[in-house]
Parts: sequence; C-alpha cells; structure tokens
Amino acid sequence: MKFIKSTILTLGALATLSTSCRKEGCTDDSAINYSEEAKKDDASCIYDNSVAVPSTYSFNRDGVSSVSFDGQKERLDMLSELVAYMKTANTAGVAVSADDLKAMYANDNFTWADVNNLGMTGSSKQLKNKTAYAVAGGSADTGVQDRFLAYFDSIANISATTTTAVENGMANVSGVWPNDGSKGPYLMGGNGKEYTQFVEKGLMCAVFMNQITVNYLGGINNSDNTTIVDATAGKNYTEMEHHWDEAFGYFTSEINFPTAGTDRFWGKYSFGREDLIGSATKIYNAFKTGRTAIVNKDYTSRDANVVIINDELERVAAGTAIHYLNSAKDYITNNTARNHVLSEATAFLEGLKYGYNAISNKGMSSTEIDMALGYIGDDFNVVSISNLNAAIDLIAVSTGLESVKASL
Amino acid sequence: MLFGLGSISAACNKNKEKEDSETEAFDRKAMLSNITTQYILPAYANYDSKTSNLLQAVADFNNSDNINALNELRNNLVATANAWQSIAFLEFGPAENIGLRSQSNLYPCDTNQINSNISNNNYNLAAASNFSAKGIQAIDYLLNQPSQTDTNLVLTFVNNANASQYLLTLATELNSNANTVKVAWDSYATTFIENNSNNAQGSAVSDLVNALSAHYETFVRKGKLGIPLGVFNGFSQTTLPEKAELAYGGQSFEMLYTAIDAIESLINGLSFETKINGLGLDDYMNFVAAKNGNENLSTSLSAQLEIIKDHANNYMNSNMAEAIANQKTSLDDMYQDMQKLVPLIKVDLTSALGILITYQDNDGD
Repeated sequence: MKFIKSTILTLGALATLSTSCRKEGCTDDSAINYSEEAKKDDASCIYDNSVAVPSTYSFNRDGVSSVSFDGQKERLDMLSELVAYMKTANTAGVAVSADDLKAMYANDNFTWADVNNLGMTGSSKQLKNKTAYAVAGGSADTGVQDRFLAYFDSIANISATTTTAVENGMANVSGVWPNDGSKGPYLMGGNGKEYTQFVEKGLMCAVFMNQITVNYLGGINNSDNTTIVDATAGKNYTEMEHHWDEAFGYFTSEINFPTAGTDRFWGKYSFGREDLIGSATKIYNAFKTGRTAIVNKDYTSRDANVVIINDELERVAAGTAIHYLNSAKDYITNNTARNHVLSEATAFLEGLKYGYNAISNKGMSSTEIDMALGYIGDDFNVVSISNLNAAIDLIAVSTGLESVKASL
Repeated sequence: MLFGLGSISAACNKNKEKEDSETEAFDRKAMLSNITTQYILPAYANYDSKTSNLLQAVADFNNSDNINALNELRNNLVATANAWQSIAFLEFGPAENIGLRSQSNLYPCDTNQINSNISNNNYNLAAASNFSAKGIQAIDYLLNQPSQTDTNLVLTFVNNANASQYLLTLATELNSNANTVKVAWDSYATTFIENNSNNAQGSAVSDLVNALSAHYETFVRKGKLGIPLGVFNGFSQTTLPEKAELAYGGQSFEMLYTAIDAIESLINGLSFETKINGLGLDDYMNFVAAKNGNENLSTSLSAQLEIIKDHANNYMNSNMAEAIANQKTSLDDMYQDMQKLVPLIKVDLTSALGILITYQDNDGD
C-alpha cells in the first residue's frame, strides 16, 4: 500500500513536468481500467478487490470463517422437538402437556433432547420472544404469542380426552381422526382444525420468516459494516454480515442447501414447490449474493437481494397454501385428509401476515389474507369447492402465482 | 486455432438442430386437436345433454308419480351414468377446477345422510359433508331403494314432498355442474391444444395422461372392482358388494365396460360418436417406438383393454352381489387383468412420452 502511494506520488510529479509529450492513463494491467495506450500513469487506476459469489454459503475473513448462526440452529431444533412432541398426540390415548408445550416455546426450565448438542437446555435462546416483530429491532407481539399458547391448550385438552386405540374423531367430535385411506391419524378438533399444523407452520412464519424479513433484512441498512465485532472471541464478522447470516440460519441450517436442508421448515417447503415456483434456488442464491455484496460493500446489490428474499418467501407460503387448497379439493370427501391439508393451508395463509411484504403493504395484504381465510371458513367439514376456488384465486392474484395455480 | 473453434461451433449447432427436429417431429398439437374436437368436446356435450334429460325425467316423474315415469327416470339415470364414464377420466382443467368427480359420482353414497337431509329438508349440497349424499349414486339409491316394490317406491315420493324436492335438487345440481364444465371447455379447448410445447408438469399431454392414469388406477381398477371384491379390505379381504357403483340399480359391470371402452377410445384417438381413428396417444407411442417387450406398447395397451372388456361382458346381466356370490374366482382373474393395465399406463406410457406422474402426494406428513 505504501509502495503504491509513493509510486503514484512520484508518477504524479513526473506528470506535471511533461504533460503534453506522453498519453496518460492507468498503466497497471491488474487494474480494471488499465489502458494499453497509456504510456504514463495518472493515478487513475481502479482495483477490483471484490469477492465472487461462492458455490456454498461459506465466507472467510483472513482464512477464518466469518459465518455463524448457532442461535438460529437452536431455534430450528427447538421447533423440530416441539413438533415431534405434539405429533405424539396423533396416537389415540397419548396425552401431551400444555405446560411442557409452553415451556418448550419459551425455553423455560425445559430439558431438551438436543440431538445436535447445541446446549439448548438452559440457553437464552427461545422461540417465544422472537414471535411476530412489527419492525426491525422490535419485540414480540403478545397477542400473537397468546394465539400459540391457546393452540397448546387446545392440543393438550383434546389429547387428554383420547382413549387408547379408539380413533373417534369426526365432524363435531374432537379427538384422533382415523386414517381415511389417504392420510391420518391426526389429532383434530370437531371443526377439523389440526392445531399441531397451526403451531408448526405458524411458528415457521411468525418466528422464522418474520425474523428473516422484518427483523434482520428489514434493519440490515442500519447495521455496522466496518468494525469486526470480536475476532479473538470467534466473532470474526461485522454486525451487518452477522445479521445477514442469522437471517440465512432461519431459512436453513445447511450451508450446502439444497444438497442438504430440504428436510424441514423453509428449506423443505421452498424445495417442495421448486419445480413450479423455483423459490428455493432463488432464495439460496439471493442469500449468497447479498452476503457477497455486503463483503464488497455493494449495497445496491444487497438491497436487491433483500427484495428477492422477501418476495420469494411470500411466494413459498402462498404457493404452499394454494397447493394444500388444491389438495383439499382432491380430498374433499376424505374427512381426515381434507381437514389436515386445510389446517396446513390455513396456517401458511395466516403466517403470511408476519412477513415483511404483508406488514409493509407490498404483497398480499392482511385484509386479503383474512378474506381468503374467510372463504375456507371456521368449520372445515362444510367447506365448498367454490369457496376453495375463491381462496385460491385471491391468493394467486395477490402473489403473482396465477400461471401455476392449477398445477400447484 | 480460429479454424478449429469454427468447426467445433458449427458441429454444435448442427447437433442442436437435429435434436430440435427430433423432439418436434411428432405433431402434438394435431394430436391434442383431434382428441379435443373429436372426443372431449362431444363427450362433454353428450354428458351435459344426458343430465339435462335426467332433470326433465325427474320433473316428469314428480308430476305424474307412476311406475312408467319411474322406469323412464331409471333409464335416464343409467344413460347419464354411461355418459359420465366417457368424461370421468378428464379430471383436469375445468373438471378439476370444480371437483366434478367428487360432486357427481362418489360411491358408496351415504344413505343416512341422504335420509337425514330429506327429513330435515335443510341442506347445503355444496358443503363437503354432503358430497356423499348427492350425485348419480344418491339418485340411484333414491330410485332403487332396497326391499321396496315399485308401487311402494312411487308412493314414498307421493307422500313425501321433501323426497321429491331432494331428487329434483340433486338432478338440478348434477346438470348444472355438467353444464359448467361443458361451457368452460368452449374456451379452455384452445388453451389446452396450444399448451403443447413439451410434456412437462402442467402441459396438456401431462395433464391428460396424469388424469387418465390416476382415474384408471383409483376409480376404475380400485373403485369399480377392487373395493367391492374385497382386495383393499385389510387382512380379511371380505367382499363389499354394497360399495359398488350403481349398487342399487345393479349396472356396475355395464359402467365398468363403458369406462374401459372410453379409455380405449381416448388412447387410440377415436372420435366420440363414430369411433373414427385419428391421431391419439397410440400414434405418439408408436412414433417414439415405445415397446413392451417385443411388442409395440400401443398394441399391448389395446389388447389389455380388450381383455378387460371381455371380462366385463360376462357379467352384464349380473349385479355386483350376484357376480361375487357366483363367480368370485373369475372376478379375481378379472381384477388381475385390470391390475396389469396399471403399469402399462403409469410406467410404460409415461416413461415413453417423458411424463412425470404428479398425482401422488409425497409430502408424507
């Protein structure tokens, strides 16, 4: 660096002596504006120090990884354990505890299986306090938290009434609904609502998508990108880099997605509709490209990739909801299967409300979401195909999925 | 060096042209056009017209309340059911959009729900909970109620205005749904024929073959014979003749024959009424030289469809309960022959034309 500066100064001094006799320009062929005709350097050389987009989500600083999303991995594993526990109630005679479900949600004095040894038990990480931020750097919405607490109560209450080996769930009778030849058994209310789906897909949206789009990407331009937080303590990243990585960690725990990471949550559901929507690839590439842009301090590119991630997560949730509404038409007379897929569709639709697009009135609005939910109705046993079509049409129009809505 | 590059790129272009001409040489558009104009549109027009006749026959029966009108109505129901078989495997596009199959021909019907709807005289037929209480099979039950003489059956309608009204409402809805799909095809036909650039998911060929395969596997092989025969009845394999199509009127095998005949017409590109041979899936299979062993796949498919029709012909004068009681072993053979058709369509036909089977839900949760 010093050498270059002094060279430039020297050349600059020479230039003033003989301006007219030789053509000036950048004479360094490693610069991006190198001029073959220039005989005399005029200190105009521009060097491209930018990093290229890597093939997997790995970034280094001084040969050491600068990527870390351990907290997100913990929360994904928490939801995995929570879902597995809720699903035990799909077996008639198995009761789950509302207290345990709530303790898992808040990571409050709960002992996790913690199969990946992340130190989840007693950790400060939890799902509850990350639920439904309204703005970047905001805080959890207690009204939304209460919805999930009510779902836990419903699951516990219904499961407490089931009797070993008796699958008696049916219209107007809550309990374990039997396999109907297509799907089941599932624990559902007499209205066909499978609260386990409301929790799993609900938290995918109200925590994971909300934290990605509203909290981290929504506030990315206010993050510092000059100071390394603490390289000696393993925090070999700027605040902005770290926030971006945390957003990525809520999308998938796997840096080589979609080779790995298509087994759960956003990785799974984005990849599930990949053939028709292509969002899994777009989101993964946007995360890599945006992170590269942050390293290169190219904030135009970073912000373009924020928009891609916001839009594609919305399309995944909307496309998955349409997929399940189409399935509900196929399963219209298979009571267990129909109500199961309607529970999934309802949860994804409701979840759309917690994404950046809905919150900032850029995509499908909360009013439109409520209208679509209204078509599905509150009793899944009496849904009509014309109303399912009305919901599908509304979602497709609002999220740009018109051309694929019939195939989803 | 430059010469070398030039010759490489010329070779690449040549290969590309060759590939393009190969994949485009079979005229998918002409095939889709033939299938649409010669089979699909006339078949839907026929179904619409038969449901319209049925509706008129119900109105006549409700006005006259005699055995002649009852028999006339029954004939119209069987004609409607036969017309249904000709379009039942087209559950994509307009039919899929309104769930025509679930709305029109679910069986067994739910007789408790039907009777409760009639006595309450308060029902929403559009609600999912009422799908098993409407359509062709519910009308079959109402017109052929077990252990009723025809005279008594006429009297039950004379004495119960709710029942007459229910019958009329079912026939009206059946006709309305038939008409909705027929009208939608007027504009969808062009969309369908033009959606011919490949056989990928969502293309016309993929939609058609997926619907055909799904319908045959689930609603013909399984629904029309497998379930009544007890094949899907757990370990016991106890027969369930009461779950047959038109179980009350007893024309289950006629329906099966018509369904297979219709599938054969579609695959071979025959016109709906006159059975004139045009471009069909058989020509497409022959074009790509699709084989089943040493035989052309199209030949194997036709032969297997004929074998199934021959089986069905043996039971034209029996209802399902009688056939199961007297000829269970031959019916088991028939089912085996119906089973053999599944891989020919679902595996051989689809792989020959590069179609992905999309109707199985693999979410697994």
